[in-house]
Amino acid sequence: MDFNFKKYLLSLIALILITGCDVLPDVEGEYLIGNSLDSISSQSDQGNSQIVSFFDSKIKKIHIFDLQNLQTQQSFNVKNPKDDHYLVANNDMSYVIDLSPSQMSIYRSTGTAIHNPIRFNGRPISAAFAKAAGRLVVYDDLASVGFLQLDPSGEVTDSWVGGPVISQNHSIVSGDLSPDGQTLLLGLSSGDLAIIDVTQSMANQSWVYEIAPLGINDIKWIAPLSNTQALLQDQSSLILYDYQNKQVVDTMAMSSLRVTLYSKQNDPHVLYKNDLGHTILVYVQGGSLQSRQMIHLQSSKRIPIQSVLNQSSNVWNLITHTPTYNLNIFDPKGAYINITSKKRSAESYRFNDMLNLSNRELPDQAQLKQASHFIFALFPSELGYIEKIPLLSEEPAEKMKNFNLHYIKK
Amino acid sequence: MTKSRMKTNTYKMALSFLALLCFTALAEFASANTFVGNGGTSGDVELKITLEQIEKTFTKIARTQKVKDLELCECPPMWTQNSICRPLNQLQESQKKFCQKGLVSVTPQVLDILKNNKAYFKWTHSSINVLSHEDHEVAADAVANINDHTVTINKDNFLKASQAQRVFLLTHELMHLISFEDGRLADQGPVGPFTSAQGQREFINAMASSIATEANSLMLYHNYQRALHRSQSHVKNWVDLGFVGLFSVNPSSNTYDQDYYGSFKLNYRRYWNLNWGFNAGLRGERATEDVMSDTTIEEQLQVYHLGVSYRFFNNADPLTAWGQSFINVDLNFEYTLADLKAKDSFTSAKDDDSGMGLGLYAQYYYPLSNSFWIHLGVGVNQTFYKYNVFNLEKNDTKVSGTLGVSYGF
Repeated sequence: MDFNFKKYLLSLIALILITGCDVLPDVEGEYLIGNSLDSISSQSDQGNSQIVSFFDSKIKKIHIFDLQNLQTQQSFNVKNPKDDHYLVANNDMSYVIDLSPSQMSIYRSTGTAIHNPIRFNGRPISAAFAKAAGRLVVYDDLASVGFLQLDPSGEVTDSWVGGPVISQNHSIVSGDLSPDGQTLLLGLSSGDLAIIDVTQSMANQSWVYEIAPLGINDIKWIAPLSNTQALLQDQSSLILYDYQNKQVVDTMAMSSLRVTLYSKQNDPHVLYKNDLGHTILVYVQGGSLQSRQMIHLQSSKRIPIQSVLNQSSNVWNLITHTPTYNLNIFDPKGAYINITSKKRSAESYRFNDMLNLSNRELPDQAQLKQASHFIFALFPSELGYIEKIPLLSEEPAEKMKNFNLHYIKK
Repeated sequence: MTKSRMKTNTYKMALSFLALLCFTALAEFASANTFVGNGGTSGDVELKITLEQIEKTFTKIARTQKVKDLELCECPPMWTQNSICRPLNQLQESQKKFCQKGLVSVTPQVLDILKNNKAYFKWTHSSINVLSHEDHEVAADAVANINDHTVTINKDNFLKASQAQRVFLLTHELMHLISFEDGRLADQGPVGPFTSAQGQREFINAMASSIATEANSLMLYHNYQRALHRSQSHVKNWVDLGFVGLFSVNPSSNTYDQDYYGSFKLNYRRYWNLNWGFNAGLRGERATEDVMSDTTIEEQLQVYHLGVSYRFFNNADPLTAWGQSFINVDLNFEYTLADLKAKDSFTSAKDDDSGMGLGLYAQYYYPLSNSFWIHLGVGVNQTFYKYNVFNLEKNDTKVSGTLGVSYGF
């Protein structure tokens, strides 16, 4: 085993920089349409329902899980079980959309499935779903945009796949769907915003749009706040934009390079580090952009990884982690820095005065999905193991074990 | 075939076997006799060895043309201090010659008795008293009855004696069964140069001593050491310890159904006669299997059994290992405590149950030494129990193989 001194020295310098100088990791959410894909769907937000669907990568099944009664409602075998599978589900879980690198499937509560209602040549990387309208937009790594209109039972009533070039050879760089699913906002390479009429586009099988010239650079992230307003992040600022009246409502100078976290959960917001290294939360309140310095994160090594802001409930939930960096000098391919994510914790705050309401450690190995009052933790257990970890209280997590017991095969 | 019918058939099979064994046992009892020396009771091996040693020594005398070369009726130097030689150390020259001639003359009769089973041997645990030349009773280790050609032996003293002492004892008694100078030899009265009131006894003892020392010269004590130390099958109590491998002959497709088990067993068996007995014991079975990448399934069974035993002997020479070996068959009722667990790195599931069943086993026992044995066996057993958590009903027929050691006492 040869010791490569040059590689070792460079890795050591990088390690010192990372640990000593707060160098920021890549930010998830940029250059997507909608949200990055997740193997756990968002929780149903209908009434008191606590239903979630997830792909169990151990036994290659999609489970629809009732978190209130801690039991499995329904399970589906997937096609291409060796692939990764990402899920989008409607409110009452009458259907679950399964996106995988090789195909798309819709699994319905009746037990039937629809495979490949639209075809992609690329690999899906993000999706936007207007649940109430049953309207899905899928974006792949070849910048294709797929549209699906589904009825409440999961039947496809309309569909279309469009390419990335919208107008004058300017192509899509980012986007998201309005809450009612009628409008698709697309950031273009020209710095303009394309306002897409989704219904007409599907009907005409071509882009039906308006261009809102913004004159900004590189729209990396779009988050609709309502059916009229959206947040846009370009290279140097965060913009509150009224896309119905096509006018800028508010602007805040904020380099996209300083952003640490984008979140569209509940009330869209952004976390970034200012020039002094302070973590700043930016959100919309009272029709304008507001910012707040996060004292709690100021001197800590904790990095936010998930954030849910619910101003109407006056609650802000945050999941952070404390990364550890290990210098591996013995790898035959050369020294490298291994970053492991550990010591995750869930913090809840009363938003108006940032009083900490609860702070609890989260299990290391589980996939986590935040809901409004709890965190869903899916463990990589072949027999099946889930925890429902309450936020805002110190009660122990509720556990559901062995739900895969009868699916284990030799 | 339904499960209940399988169960019924198994029990019918067991009951039929039991009936067959009972009939065989009754037949066995009908033809039983108390003839000692067939290897079936304690002392039989020692008796048979002693008689063979005597026979081989007399055979040597019969085949030797120059009897003087045998140095009969003379105490070998290494035996001088041994009590066996006491009768020889006191002999006068004329008595020595009379003893030598006497041995040669009685050899054909002794060989005739031994080779043609013309003497009967009985055991007793009671003390044996005989009349001395002075008409009072003295204790003896054996006594011969010339009327029915029976030699009664005190078993306890015989088994405590050395090989040479046994040869001396039985040679002495055999001398009472032969004719000498148109009469019988007794323990009193003179004969030839043995002129004392116990002269005949001294004469018989001198011949017996000579045979005992000559047997040693012929290496007969050394040659039978192995047979003497070999474990003997007549003992009533047995403790078995062994390893058992079992496999299911009707596996199901249920992931949690285990097919192969490893086990240890501990068993006690007691025979109330040579063939029939009962056994009781336990067996700890374990099966473990890794499925997928992180899940382990483990089943543990504790099986307690109680049943009847029957053993089959061959008719071979009981002085050989093959002759002592036997086959034992057990028919057992079994009670099983079953426990099944599946676990991965994060969680586990378990269930337990109990059930009844039957087992039929056959083992071949091969003797080692000092009451130790090895045994090999095969068996089949059927048990019923359920694991509700795993949706698994075990209606299991398992075939087993055993390798173990035993101690008989």
